[in-house]
Amino acid sequence: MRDSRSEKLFYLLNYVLLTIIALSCILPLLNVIALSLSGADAVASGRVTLWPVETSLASFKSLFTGTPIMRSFWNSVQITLIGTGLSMLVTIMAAYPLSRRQFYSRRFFTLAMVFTMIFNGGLIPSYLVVQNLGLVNSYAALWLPGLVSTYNMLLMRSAFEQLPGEVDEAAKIDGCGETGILLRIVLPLSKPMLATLALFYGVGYWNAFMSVMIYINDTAKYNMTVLVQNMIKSTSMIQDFADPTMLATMTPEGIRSAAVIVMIVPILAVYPLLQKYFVKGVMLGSIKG
Amino acid sequence: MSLFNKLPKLMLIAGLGSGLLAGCSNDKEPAAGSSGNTGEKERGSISSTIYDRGSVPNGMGTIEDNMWTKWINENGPANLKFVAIPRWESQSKLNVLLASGSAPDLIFEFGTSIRNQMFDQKQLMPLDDLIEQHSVEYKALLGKYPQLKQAGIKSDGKLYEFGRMNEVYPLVSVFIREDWLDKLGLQVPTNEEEFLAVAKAFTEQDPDGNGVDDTYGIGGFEFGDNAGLFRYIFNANWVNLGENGEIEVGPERLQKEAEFKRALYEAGVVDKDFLSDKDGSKSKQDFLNGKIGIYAFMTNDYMGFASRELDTLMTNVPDAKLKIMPLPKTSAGQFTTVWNNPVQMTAVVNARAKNPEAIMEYIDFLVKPETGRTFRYGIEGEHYKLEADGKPVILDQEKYKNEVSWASDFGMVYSRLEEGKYGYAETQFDEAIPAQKEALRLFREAMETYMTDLPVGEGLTHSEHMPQLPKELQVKFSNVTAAVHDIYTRAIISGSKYTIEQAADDAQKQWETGGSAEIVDWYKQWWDKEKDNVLIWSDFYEIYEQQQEAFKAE
Repeated sequence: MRDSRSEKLFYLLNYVLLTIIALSCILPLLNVIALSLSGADAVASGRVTLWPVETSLASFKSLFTGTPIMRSFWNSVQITLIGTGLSMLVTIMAAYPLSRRQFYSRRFFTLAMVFTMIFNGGLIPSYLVVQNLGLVNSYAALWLPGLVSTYNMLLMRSAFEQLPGEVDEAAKIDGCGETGILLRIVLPLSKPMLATLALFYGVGYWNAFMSVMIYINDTAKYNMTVLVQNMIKSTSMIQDFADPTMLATMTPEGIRSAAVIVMIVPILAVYPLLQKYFVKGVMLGSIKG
Repeated sequence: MSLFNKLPKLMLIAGLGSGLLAGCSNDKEPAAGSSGNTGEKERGSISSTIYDRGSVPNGMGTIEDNMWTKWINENGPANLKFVAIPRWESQSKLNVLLASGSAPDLIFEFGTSIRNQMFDQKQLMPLDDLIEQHSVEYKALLGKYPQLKQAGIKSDGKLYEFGRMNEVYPLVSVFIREDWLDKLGLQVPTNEEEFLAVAKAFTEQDPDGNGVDDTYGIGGFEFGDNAGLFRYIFNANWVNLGENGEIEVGPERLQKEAEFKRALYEAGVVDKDFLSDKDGSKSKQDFLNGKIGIYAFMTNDYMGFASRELDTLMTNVPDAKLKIMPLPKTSAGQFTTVWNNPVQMTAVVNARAKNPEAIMEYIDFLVKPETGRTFRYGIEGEHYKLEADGKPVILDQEKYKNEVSWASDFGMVYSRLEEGKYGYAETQFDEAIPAQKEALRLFREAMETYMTDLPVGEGLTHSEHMPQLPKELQVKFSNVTAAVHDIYTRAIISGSKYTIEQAADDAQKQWETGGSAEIVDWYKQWWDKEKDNVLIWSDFYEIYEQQQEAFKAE
């Protein structure tokens, strides 16, 4: 069927709009890349826009030798991989029973979890809990308190509920227990869902900032978000500069840009790999896929 | 059953749960009795904060465990355990540590409001007796600089803060392009009319000679380094010292500043888009590319200014010649730009600290010039050597950068000038480097121009010595200042649609309805009670004169 004129117009508008939105995401990124690859003078006098000027890798070199970025990069990787694994595991273990109609008090448990979405203790009580559990200064303090995102759990639960009940009846007749049904039927059928949620968790852990800053005292355990934030923000603390030697610790813009690049590249690399699953994606109600 | 029917039950469960948690979060340790017994020189153990700026080089350990923390533990009087505080988030990190009872004994913090907050929450230990009984070095420093005591005393009349003396010099320098003045046959402007005329000439007469209309008279109109310039010119501050020593609070002084800014804006001598240049970076870049004639910089650190901005300008525009410009005379009088804070409070002691004596010994250790010099230059013979006249010279810049440059936060109570001549900024420049040679010339010019007994255009005193309003008044005050600021900004850019007179009326109304009575009252009472204790600009000028005398005597 050929598109009508109004449809064509609609598509045109769509393309224009999406192009603008896409550019507004890509251009700042290009600018940061260009800054990280440019000479210090060019950066200071604002001659860098989208293409490196006086190209040099000096920023990256000072980033890797002059800051603890490699250590914090490795910390971020650990926090993200282990955290995502644990979160997925527990989310599945919570969502699966709650998706079973025969589970007696599933309504109560669901509501109890939803309750936590609305109310939370606040920073200091949370800190006291974590402190008294002896978790301060360990990554467990990042993983355990936010182990399950209720929202993600609900998404997963409704995805499991969408699966036709006949499939697991058939599995049961063939001799599968609940574990077997989960592992052999439900999970393989929910791959797009799992991939998407893993990405949600992964990005969350990768970007963890407040929790790391509050719970981790040992700077050797800082992740990249805290390090980069510290590098960027320390520059503007005017009151420090009463003592000019303090200025030596200021990080030039090129190095900060390089740090930002190092921080976003892993996530940028993961997105395309998971992209095919997004097409199927997640849903909460209504029909998709 | 719906969620709402179940809510009470759920809340009960949650309540019980949190009650349990609270039950086990009680502090185990009872307030420790004083460690009074004088067992001969047993090393005390204390904990201290240290700022983390993410700047410890790869392979140097962490900010709380590195060659300098080891050095302190080996050479200092006590065993130190360091807790890193992220520089930018120091407030929230300190809040959490204090609230959970795990804050270090000794807390270094630049932020006056953060320290005041700790005082208000009764988290701090008074220091008078401690210093009296156990200090040698710091006590001597207090004797030499009574201002250190004056600045550290809180509203209950006791001393709560340790601090350091800084060299007084201008924090902001106004630069004018001397090569442009010469080319157009103009003089440095001395009053409002001349200022406007020069800025106009800079904009319209193509001073860079490239045949394109791409220059502005003045940059950084609203944001960035230049932000305070017009405020300083007119002393357009909310809290001021009146003629007869009374405190004056209100927006009345802001009108003249807005009038002048409006005149400049309407004359087209400033980038019309100044409001969208939120951090002033566009304007700064224009200046560094030789497109702006008058620009004020934060030059608290002329060395840094030399290696960054000045160097960039000299590369981009080799012909550029800068000159320091005094603030013009105006209908409000003549003022000078803001100065550095010479009496800077930087450390407080946790009220729960168990071994105050060891803290005092540690502070005494940090105050010593030998110690302070170590955090500035490193170990003698390894990182620097002293020349015959006592000038410290870095032996290997690369090694210095890698091992020493990030250690300066360990020296937060160190008064550099105690080192003598080579503690002063003027002796830090390396004249073999062109940008630094030029910066030294400008620094001397700035000292001469701005360190005068003209009133400083920043109201009563340096912001770090201003008192803090109680919380709800502070909120009101911030709201009303922001609203008034918006009113005047509108008046600057709106032409005949909105005149300055209207704006002044609106500002006054805003101020009256925005809690002016309470705020004025509070400041008045504070001033009546504290005026003899508050350090003001004239005190700083005295310190400046003393310092310069000492410097010249060397």
